[in-house]
Formats: sequence, C-alpha cells, structure tokens
Amino acid sequence: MTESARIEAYLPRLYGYALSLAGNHHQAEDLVQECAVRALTARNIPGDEPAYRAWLFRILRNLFLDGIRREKTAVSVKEEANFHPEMEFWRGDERFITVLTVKLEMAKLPRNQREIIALIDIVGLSYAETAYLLDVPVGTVMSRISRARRMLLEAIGTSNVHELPVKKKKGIR
Amino acid sequence: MSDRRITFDMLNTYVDGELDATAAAEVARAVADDPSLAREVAALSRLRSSVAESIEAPPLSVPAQPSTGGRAVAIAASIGFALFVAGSVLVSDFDRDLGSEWLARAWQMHRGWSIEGVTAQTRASLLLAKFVDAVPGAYVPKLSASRLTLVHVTAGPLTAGRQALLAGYRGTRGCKISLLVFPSLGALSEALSPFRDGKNEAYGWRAGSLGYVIMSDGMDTGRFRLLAESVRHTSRQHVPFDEQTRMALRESRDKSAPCLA
Repeated sequence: MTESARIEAYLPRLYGYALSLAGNHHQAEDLVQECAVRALTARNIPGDEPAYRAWLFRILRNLFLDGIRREKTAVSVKEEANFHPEMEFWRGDERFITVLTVKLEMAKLPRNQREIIALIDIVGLSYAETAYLLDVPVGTVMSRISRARRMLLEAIGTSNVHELPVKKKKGIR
Repeated sequence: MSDRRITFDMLNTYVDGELDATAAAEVARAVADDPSLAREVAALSRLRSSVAESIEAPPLSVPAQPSTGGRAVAIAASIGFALFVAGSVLVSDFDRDLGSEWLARAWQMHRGWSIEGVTAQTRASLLLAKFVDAVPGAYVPKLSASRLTLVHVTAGPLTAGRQALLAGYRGTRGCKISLLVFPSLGALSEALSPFRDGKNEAYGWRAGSLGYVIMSDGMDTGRFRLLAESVRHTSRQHVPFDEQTRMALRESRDKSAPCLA
C-alpha cells in the first residue's frame, strides 16, 4: 500500500478530528491538507497500524497547537485531576439525541471536550491511544470523556432545537 | 433506584468497551436488572453513534506523493531560501530605493508562470513548508480561504543580492495570483501601495524586515483590494485569516465576476 493510500483511509476521521479542534470547516480542511503533506514527506513513518494512526493524528494536533501558539491565543488547558465527584446519571429524553442536535450542541462545547469526544467517537481511538495522543493518564481520558458526554447530553436535553418527526410522502394519486 | 455501585464513568467505559471482562459482566447484570441504568446505556450508545454520524467530511484527497525529485527540488529550494534569508539580513540594514527595476522584475516573475502548467500541488505545498521552516520569523500568508489553490512556488532574484519567493495561486474561475516575499525595500511603506501593468493590478507593502507584493491577472478590482488588505494584515500579525475575514473573502469571491485571465 502506498503512503497516499494509507493516509486516504484516514481522511474523513482526520477531518472530523480537525473540525473538533478548529471549530470551522475551512481551517479543518487546511489542517488535514497540511497534515497529509507532512506525513507524506516524513522520514520515519511508523510501520504498524496503531502506531501509524497515533502518529498521524499527533501530526494534526501539533499543527493545530502550533497555529494557536502563533495566534497567541492559546488557552492554557489545565490537566484535570483524575478524581471528581461522582456524576449524577442523565435523566433526559433519549429521543432528542439525534445527528442534528448532536451537531449543533457539539459545536458549542469547549474545545477540549469536543476533542475528547471526537477522538473516541469519531476517530475511534481506544482510551490508551487517546491517552498517548494527549499525553495524559488513561484515568484522565476516562473522566474527561465521561464529563464531556455528560455536558453534551445536558446541552441536548435543554436545547430548544429538536428534530421533528419526518412525515412519509404520500404517493401521487 | 439505580445501582449506585455503577457510576456514570463506569457506564461510559462500558459502552466504549474499555472495561475488563469481570467489570463488564457486573455492569451488564446491573443494567439488565435496572431499567434506569438500561436507559442510560441506551442514551450513551445513541450519543456515540449520533456523534460518529454527525461528521460530513467534504470531498478530500491526498496530494500526489512527492517523488524523490520533488524532495531534491525542495532541498534545493530550501538552500535557495537560506540565501534569501542571508540576503535579507545583509540588505535590510541599508534599505534603499532601487527605482522601479525591482517592480519590473516582479512583473516578469509573475508572468513567468502559467496556471496551465502548474507545479504538482504537493510539491508546491512542500516547497512552501520548507521555506517557512527554514526561516524562523518568516511568514508567508496562505490564500486558500479565498478559494485560491497554491499551485506554484519558486525563488528567484528580484534585484542584485535580493532573492524573492513567489507563491503562485490559481482560482477556480481563471484567476492567477502571485504573492512575492522578499527582503524589504525602501520603496515600500507599511501601507498598501498600488501598482499597475496594463490591466494587471498589484499591491505592495512592508511588514517588519520583509516586503510583499501581491499581483493579479484580471481579478475583480474590489475583490483583489480586499484580498490584498487581508494578506497585508495577516503578514503583519503572523496569524491566519480569522473567520470574519474568511467570510468576507468568500462573499467577495461569490459576488465578483470571474477573472479575465
């Protein structure tokens, strides 16, 4: 398999991750393009797939963070303690969880919460892979994903936007 | 009443398949016995799948893999840029007005490439990345937010001892834009200075120790002015276009006539 074909298999997930970081489509596309160029021109490319995947997503993350540093608007992301008070369970209406409401409310989450959700639910990384990418302990990943999903569910539950049931089209008589 | 031994964190770990077999079996039993926990698991599972489906990636493609030749060209260009930097240090200390010779040479460089015979996109991106990496503090703005694609990168002499980097962009409607970056000239001020060569327009300015000239073949005057102002701003701040600028550039592009080139 060529390096191009290898990267191509990851493009949609790279884009999903880039969007979670950048928050806008154009910057996400730029990040993916730049990530692909960096990966194609790298000297040492990991051979096995899990390492390659982590390496690829790390390139994209570093590109994004470099951009933030340049903009001098870096928000210091303080590591959260592993321990946090036990969360209450969510009591919302499951029917409100749809692609539309998720898309709308995801965009409003803080970047680090969008990022953890994207890495696990869009990119499909394991907790261990996510921990490696973010350079945090696995326990931190566990608590972060839990907190982020909780926030997302709360936002969906309190949102005024809900998908309407779709009426089936009647046939033309 | 929910089984309080099963926490929300555990349910997340459970739906992610990250619990060991013993813990997973314990959660599964609790979920089977407790409708409230079952609802939680259903909600989390639904959330996971909705998140995964919520991304609609645009058509994306991997740039063609650079050949060994591409790498060689990049390295050569890097060396060229190192010379460019050395020139910058040498010349910027005694900026002087070199008349219009440099401008004539800039137009020549602009005319010297064609949007029909473009460099492979990957190679162009690679060259630009090499240039920027080679020079701490150098900033070459990207124009992709204005629906322009980088298709050509080259370096050449602008004046004696003064190299210029040219980044060539192609639009989707026939536009051709050159952005030249070079050690600053006394002829340029920090404000935008307009130049013209027949129907072709250009703007030049200075930002720090670097001079910039952006040149167009027939782009709508209003759109080109906005593009030049935006590039000037980003060259001074060393930051990409912000969202407001991106939107303004897109709107301007959508409202303007196709390029004449």
